[in-house]
Amino acid sequence: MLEKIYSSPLRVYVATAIIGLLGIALSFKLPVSLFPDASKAAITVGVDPGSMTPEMFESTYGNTLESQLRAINTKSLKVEKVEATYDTRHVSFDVSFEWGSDGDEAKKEVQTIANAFASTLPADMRDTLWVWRSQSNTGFLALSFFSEKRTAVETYDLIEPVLQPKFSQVPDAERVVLYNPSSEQITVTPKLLTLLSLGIQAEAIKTAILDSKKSYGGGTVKFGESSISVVVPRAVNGFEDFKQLPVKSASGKSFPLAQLAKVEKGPNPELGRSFKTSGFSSLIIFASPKPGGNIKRMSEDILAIVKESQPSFPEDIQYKILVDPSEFIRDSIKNVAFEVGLAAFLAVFVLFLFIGRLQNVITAAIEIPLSMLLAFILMYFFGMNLNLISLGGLALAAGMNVDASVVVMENIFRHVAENPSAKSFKQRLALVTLAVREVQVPLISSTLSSLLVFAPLAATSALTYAVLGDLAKAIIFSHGFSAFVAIILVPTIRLQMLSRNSDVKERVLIQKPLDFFETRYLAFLKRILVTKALRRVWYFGIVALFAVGVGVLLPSLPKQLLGEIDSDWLTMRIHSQKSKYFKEMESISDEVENDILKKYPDQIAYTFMQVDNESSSRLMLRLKKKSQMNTLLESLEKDFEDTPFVSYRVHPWNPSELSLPNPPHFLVEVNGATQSDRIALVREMVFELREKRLYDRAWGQPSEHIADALQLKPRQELFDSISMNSSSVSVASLSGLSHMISSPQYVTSIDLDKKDYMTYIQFEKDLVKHPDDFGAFPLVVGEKVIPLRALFDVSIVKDDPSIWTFNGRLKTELRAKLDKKDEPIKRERRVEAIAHLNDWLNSKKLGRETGSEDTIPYSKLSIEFPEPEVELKDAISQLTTATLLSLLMIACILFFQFGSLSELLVVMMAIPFGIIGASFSLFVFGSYLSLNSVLGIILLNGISVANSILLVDFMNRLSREGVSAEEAALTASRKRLRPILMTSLTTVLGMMPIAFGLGQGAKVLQPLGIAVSGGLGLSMLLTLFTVPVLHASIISRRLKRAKI
Amino acid sequence: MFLQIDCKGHYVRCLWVRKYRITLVFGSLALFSVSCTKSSTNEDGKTKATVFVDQVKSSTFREEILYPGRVLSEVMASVKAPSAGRVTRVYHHVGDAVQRGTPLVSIKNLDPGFVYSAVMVRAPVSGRIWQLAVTSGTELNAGDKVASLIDPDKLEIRVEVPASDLEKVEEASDIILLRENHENLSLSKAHVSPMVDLQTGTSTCVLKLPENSEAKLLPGQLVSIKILGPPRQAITINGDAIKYRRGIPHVQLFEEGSVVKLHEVKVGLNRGDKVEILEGLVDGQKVVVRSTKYISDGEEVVLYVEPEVIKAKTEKSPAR
Repeated sequence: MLEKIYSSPLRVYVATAIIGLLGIALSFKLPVSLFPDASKAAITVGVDPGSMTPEMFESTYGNTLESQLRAINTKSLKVEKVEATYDTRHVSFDVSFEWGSDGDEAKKEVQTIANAFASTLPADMRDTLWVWRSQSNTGFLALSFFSEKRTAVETYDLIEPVLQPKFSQVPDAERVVLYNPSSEQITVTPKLLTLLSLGIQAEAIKTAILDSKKSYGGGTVKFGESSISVVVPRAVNGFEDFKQLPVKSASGKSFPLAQLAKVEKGPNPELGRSFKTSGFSSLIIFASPKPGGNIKRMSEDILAIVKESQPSFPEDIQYKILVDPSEFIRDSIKNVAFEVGLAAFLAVFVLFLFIGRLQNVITAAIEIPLSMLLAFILMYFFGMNLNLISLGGLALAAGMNVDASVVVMENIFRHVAENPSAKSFKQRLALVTLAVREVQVPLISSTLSSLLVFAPLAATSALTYAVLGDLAKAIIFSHGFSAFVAIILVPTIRLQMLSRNSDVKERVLIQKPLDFFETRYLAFLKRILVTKALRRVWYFGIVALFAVGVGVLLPSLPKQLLGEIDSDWLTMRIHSQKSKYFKEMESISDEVENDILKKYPDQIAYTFMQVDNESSSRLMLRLKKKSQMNTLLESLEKDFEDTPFVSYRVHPWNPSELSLPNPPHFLVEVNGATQSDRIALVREMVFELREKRLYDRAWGQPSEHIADALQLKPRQELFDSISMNSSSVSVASLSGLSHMISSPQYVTSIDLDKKDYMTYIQFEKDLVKHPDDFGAFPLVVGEKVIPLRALFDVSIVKDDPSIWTFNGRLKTELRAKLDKKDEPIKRERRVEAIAHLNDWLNSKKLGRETGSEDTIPYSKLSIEFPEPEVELKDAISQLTTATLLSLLMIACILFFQFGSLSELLVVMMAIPFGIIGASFSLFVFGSYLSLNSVLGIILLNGISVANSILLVDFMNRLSREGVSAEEAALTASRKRLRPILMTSLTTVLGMMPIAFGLGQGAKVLQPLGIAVSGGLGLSMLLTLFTVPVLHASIISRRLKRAKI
Repeated sequence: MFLQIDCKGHYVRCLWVRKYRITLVFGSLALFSVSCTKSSTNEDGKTKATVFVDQVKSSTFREEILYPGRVLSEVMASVKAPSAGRVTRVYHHVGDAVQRGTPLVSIKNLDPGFVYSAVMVRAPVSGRIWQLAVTSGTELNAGDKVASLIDPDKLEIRVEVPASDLEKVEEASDIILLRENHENLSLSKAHVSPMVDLQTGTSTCVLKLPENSEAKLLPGQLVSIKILGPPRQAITINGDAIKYRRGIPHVQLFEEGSVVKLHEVKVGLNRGDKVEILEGLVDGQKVVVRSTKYISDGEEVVLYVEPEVIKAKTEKSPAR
């Protein structure tokens, strides 16, 4: 079989070329994204509970819906958790699905349940029921359009009809808006007193506006052959008509709208959001992706539409890309792709140093691109994409992949060197086939075992798998192929080379340093072998190192799910307590923007400002160089210190797509007594934590803030007699009260003078300045005008406390978080806080008995401190289980190979060495214990045993030949030093670029690189010194026993 | 070139020591850096909070109650037909000013049995016609409404006061008519109905406009009235300065040495953003209104001074 393949090289080459070309072609078709296509759908159902208290709503309706939502279970949808928050004003049910669930399907499923639920609700609540996707994505695309000759409105009218219909077809976009900053609206501001004196309700204005949109068709009339349609035109066509719109009073009289309200046309500053690009106000296209949508594809689609439509616009209309996540993602991916290339190059470089001859190097190195291309083909068919994680897998595999080729080549060299007489093609073919046959079984089994290591990963939680699945798959695909490439392609090339040129011997370039290292190594090894004391010291040292590494360093590493990506965007959120008007906020932000642009012209490329409302705005700064991020961040924080009125929050921003959990650092669960008591305790604890400077940011879940409510309690005896006599006063008519202080209410969009206007009803802003003013609200009763206070008791009361349920269980929690810079001490802080709160509560419980004034029944309440970062902890502990499982698998494989427990243990010694190396290097380089680094350790287990297998195997062979134990150790070490150095160094150096975290995006994989390269490096060194010594003592003991 | 050194054992030890030393240096450096970062965060290296304070002032404080009121004329006469008949002539139009005794309409009885002379209906008071219910030719029964007269120069404002508020209105020292785009007017209390309307639970209070007021009020118009209680000396502070601890109002006193101390107070009435403090504060003390972050009891803070430049700009900005 193999002979047949080797003897027809053309076929092999053609097949290789076809596969290679297919791989190249498909690699261009692979979608590119920043992270694996893992989505986590989250759907929210919201409803207005009317006048029901949170507790009533929960027991009457909420319970049922919660359990129905929890029961969602289809083939592709699994509910992870259902959280419900019951508030006096709003009730929301948040359904989170597990990783990998489809957002569209999840929404459909939830909508069906919500619809069925809606039918059980009273009509007024039913109308408020709403289902939406909880947007956890932070990335967006922003483009600005501007023209020097035209106003924004003219530009808008030109480009909107062209672009908007096309945008609606972008599949990954949830929302694409062409926002016109100077769009005109119609604002109707009713004159409340006039309305009241005429007996007109605000609702009547709304009805009148909606009615004005109606137009009536009169059917068609036939005149002989021809037919004419009868049209009754709309009464309202222009703005002037609109002002005269008749509004009916309760008594049936009509009044023109202009008499009842102020009617204005123009941009409404209270509604608007303002956008500026480097100071110019502009039209903005704003697009956000669907949850789980591919933001890069979305951005590219939209940019393509804009580019394609550009020629159809007048020349003076230009556009500028403000925020383009696809560019960021492309850059990050390019960077990692470069690292993959660098990894491959370094691996080849190591080979070159050891092998010397370029031809031979290339023969082995061809493995790298080829197995990568083969991996691309599989990735394509498995629906994977190119992302930081999968590319990281390829980079990791690059160094490992050459190993198989090196082994095959070495063996061929050996056979050729041992049989110099083989000159004919047939002889050589037989020789090469023999060489391959010798190694093929160990080769395939060792490849398989290093892949099997990943199998337990599949058993880990969805989160781990979602994040790391791609890495494992990429390694399996590319490394799995490497064995076949090594068995089929390498010998074929080798054979051809032999036919052309017989001088294929290795020519080690670093002969001298290698020799030097070898002599020192062997000398030291000999000393350990001979001197018992030194051996003991050595063993002790290793045990100590292991104890320090696993017992001290590993637990002290900061934990993290996945590293953050470097970004070249900074955002600054400006929040002003003082400004009352939109324009005021705009000018505050303008000033900040100017200051920054003036002060840092060399660091900032451009800015993008967005004023959200009268008190907050967002400033986005695009940096010229990523490396300036930290210094700029620091100096901005120094420049813009908070004042009691204006606060500035600066942080890096990146348009990433993966929404990882963001748990609090401290969690307290409160049980016992009533809900309001629990909330009160949470509130006290929040104060306590702040007062003692333990946590500045602490809050309750549900919120510990209990809002004030304005209670209007009807004086029933009066109310009944009045509502019988007068139609204008009823509880329903009072609902208009709430509109007075709320924001503008959208009514409809209306076509006037051939333009579309959004119409809003808005009450005067200062109508009710103080809750007391409500009491003076005029009610018309017959001839008299009486204040609302006469019919209602107006008082400010505390709202009922909110309720929060988690998977159907009622819970009250306190959550707290530390500032980012304090995160390293979060564990110590938590211990401190637990001790303090326990002491505090105990003293309160005692205080209660001695008659303190507190109203909280402390003795009935109890607190618990659950682990806050459950998801991270679970993920890492599952990975640890996976690691142990993979160790067990390796042990099984090794046991089959060696059949002796002691040898198995010696071989497995390499694993703790790897863990020592990984923990030391992670600690020294200040890295994290993250999903990536644990995965690195798993990977390490698979690779590091290979070195000890080589040594033990060789020593066994020598001892069977009758060589003494010490001699066997020294010989095996000498003979196996180079292969061990070569294979380990290719992997270690291949991982170096990632370990150093060069370029953006690389930081995500950095812990993995550090763990693998550091771990493998140290493991190799320790293995070289320890394994021969240990095994020698085993052999000598075995020999002694045999003699006896 | 290393091979040229001809003392292997020595060199190996050397290498070993050197390697050991590198690890040592690395390790100690790492430990040092870690301990450094830990100590800098453990120490309370947090920046001090900046606070904006308000001076506690004793000032006159008055209770305020708002009421809706309706403008009415002192004179509101309705004219009725003295006998049945047909209107033969209407002498005036709506809005015309008439003197007392001026003929408004003439009515002729249509009794077929007799021939009556036309009856003249005259204005009972001087004023202006605001309603005219008939035209010539209208047939009327005795007692049907013919016209309504008011005197727009003699206006009064009626306010319905809930029974519970009556005492406060009695005590009121000032009554003010709030007007948009105009100066507020001071009113005087004229009459208070001695009985509560059974239907509305309110009692009517009639307010007089000041003499020769140029206020352009129309009878029938709804207006807002503010009733001010008698002035009294009270301590007021900015409402944002009140902080609740265990449901009890507290303030944070800004004391000497820029230290902030928590202090319990008793809160009275509030008006707008000002709150009356009944107990716990004295004139001249300083309370913290806003701060950049949470301040614990006894913490040192920095006083906020508003920069002049920003002040000028923010004052100017709303005009833009």
